[in-house]
Amino acid sequence: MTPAAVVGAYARAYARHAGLPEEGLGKEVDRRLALMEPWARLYAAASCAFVLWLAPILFLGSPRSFGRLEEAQRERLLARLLRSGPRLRTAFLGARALALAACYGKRSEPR
Amino acid sequence: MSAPEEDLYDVVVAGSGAGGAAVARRLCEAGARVLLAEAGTRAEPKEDAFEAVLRYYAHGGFWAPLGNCLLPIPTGRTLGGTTTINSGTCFDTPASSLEAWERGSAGAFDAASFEGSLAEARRLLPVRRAPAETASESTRLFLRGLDALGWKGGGLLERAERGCKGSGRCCFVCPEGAKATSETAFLESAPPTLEIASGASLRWAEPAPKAGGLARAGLRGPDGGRAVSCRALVLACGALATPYFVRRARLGPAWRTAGDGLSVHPATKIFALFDRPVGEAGVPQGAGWEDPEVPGSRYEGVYTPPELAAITLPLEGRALRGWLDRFDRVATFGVMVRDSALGSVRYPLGASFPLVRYDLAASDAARLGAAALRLARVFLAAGAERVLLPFLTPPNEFRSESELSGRAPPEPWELQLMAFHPLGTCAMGRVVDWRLRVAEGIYVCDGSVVPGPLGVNPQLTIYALALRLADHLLGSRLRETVA
Repeated sequence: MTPAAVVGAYARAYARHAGLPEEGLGKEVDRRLALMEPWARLYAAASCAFVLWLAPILFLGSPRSFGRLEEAQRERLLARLLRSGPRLRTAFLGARALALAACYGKRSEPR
Repeated sequence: MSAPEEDLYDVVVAGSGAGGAAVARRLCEAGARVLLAEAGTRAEPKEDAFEAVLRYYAHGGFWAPLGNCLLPIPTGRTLGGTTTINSGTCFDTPASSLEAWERGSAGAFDAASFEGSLAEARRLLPVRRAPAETASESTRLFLRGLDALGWKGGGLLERAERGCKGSGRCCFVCPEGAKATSETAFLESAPPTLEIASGASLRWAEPAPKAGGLARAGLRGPDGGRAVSCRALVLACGALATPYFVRRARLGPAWRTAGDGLSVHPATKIFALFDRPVGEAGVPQGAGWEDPEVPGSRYEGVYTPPELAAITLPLEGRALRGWLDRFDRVATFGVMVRDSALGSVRYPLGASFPLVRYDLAASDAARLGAAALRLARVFLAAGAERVLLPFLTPPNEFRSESELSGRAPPEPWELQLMAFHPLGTCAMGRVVDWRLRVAEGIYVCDGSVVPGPLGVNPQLTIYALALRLADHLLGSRLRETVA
């Protein structure tokens, strides 16, 4: 899998979780990845892979990937990662930064 | 003597931030032949703030130290260095710092003379107080809240700008070119004796082999590598990068301590939801306040576009979306504290990957937590529906003052932090002397020489140090070669 594929998979899973549109997300992810140094792309991909596949096992004991967890499980996992120590949060931040920037890159419409 | 294939300059400056650009311009105006090498390229305004960060901030803006907290320290990697991506706020060097430097240098650092350099830097940038009509709505709400509480001392800040229209994009490249950066103030319309090599990184530095001899530097740019010789080499790569070159070449008797003494002014911010539009227009850092109840703190305005706020809001999932869906009604304001602890930077993986270590002192975490609660009170007094504090653990959302009182002080790891003023890693009086000389023919002129923390935004101090260094070089090392 390429870094773009991994980051895109997380961004889509995150958008579904947050109730945001998935249309155009892949393009947003690709655009930002193209601006990053190779090491940064690998870091972002590793970070996304961590959240997608490793974190559910480590913190919830679930073999399911992030996108296949129950909504409440996803919320619990994200909160757990957000409130972790700085080293773990650094690993999480890479995934979070790209996914959130892709999801919220266009300004939210006033509600 | 330079090698036959090397270009010979009077001065080579590595880095185009506040230190590098100012010293380069002053020297070439006096007739010196100057090469200014900058690793970054010219910044262009970007609609997407995330893209601006990826392009123009070192390491994509997300480099953070190892330590007891997550503390990203964004610096610039572009023409103008960090001045291109900072808020433009200017403060004179605190009198207490000047007195300490004069005392510590046994008079080699003359405070009265330095005040003249500060005044000159103000004139050249120029520096002026942000006009009230360009203030952001966040700023107005902050000042309204202070007034409602009867807390005195808040006011508009001074900035380096010329014709600011309040676009609110200071940190993502001013679309109007109105924020005065080291590039706009010192490099534009520079004399032709200033050669600017953008996209050219410094690779190594070598002192002159004897007094009055030539220093040398290795550069690598788009066209490959080259070595240059010069009468004076000025290292101005920033507090997180310059120590690499000092350590690599073992410059000066204290080279082993280059990289120590890092102060950063740890900072945080809060968000406040109002029942009406707040928006993004206006000077983000137009106002400030020194809070007598939180010693060593300095509150200053800030604006974070939603694509970046999404990363820094201490929320996740649905709760995060709840704030971002209403981001047009969200005001923000920040606070920094003068560090009690110091960090360090080393380079086990080379110059490109500085290993920064910084542990936030418990007392600094407590002050930041207290300041965040004070900010919350200000915005609630201004009419906020609810406030979101930078605490990763709940409770962090509050709707009233009474709810705030139950919040325990945060541990360092619990705070959502950033820091914008890395200083002190090649401090005057320790690594460099009080004339900024580190070795024969090599000088340092960036935030690394400032014995921090200052407690105020440091760019004016760095500009003034650069003008002082230039004058010193013209009167000494370059006296016979520059007409």
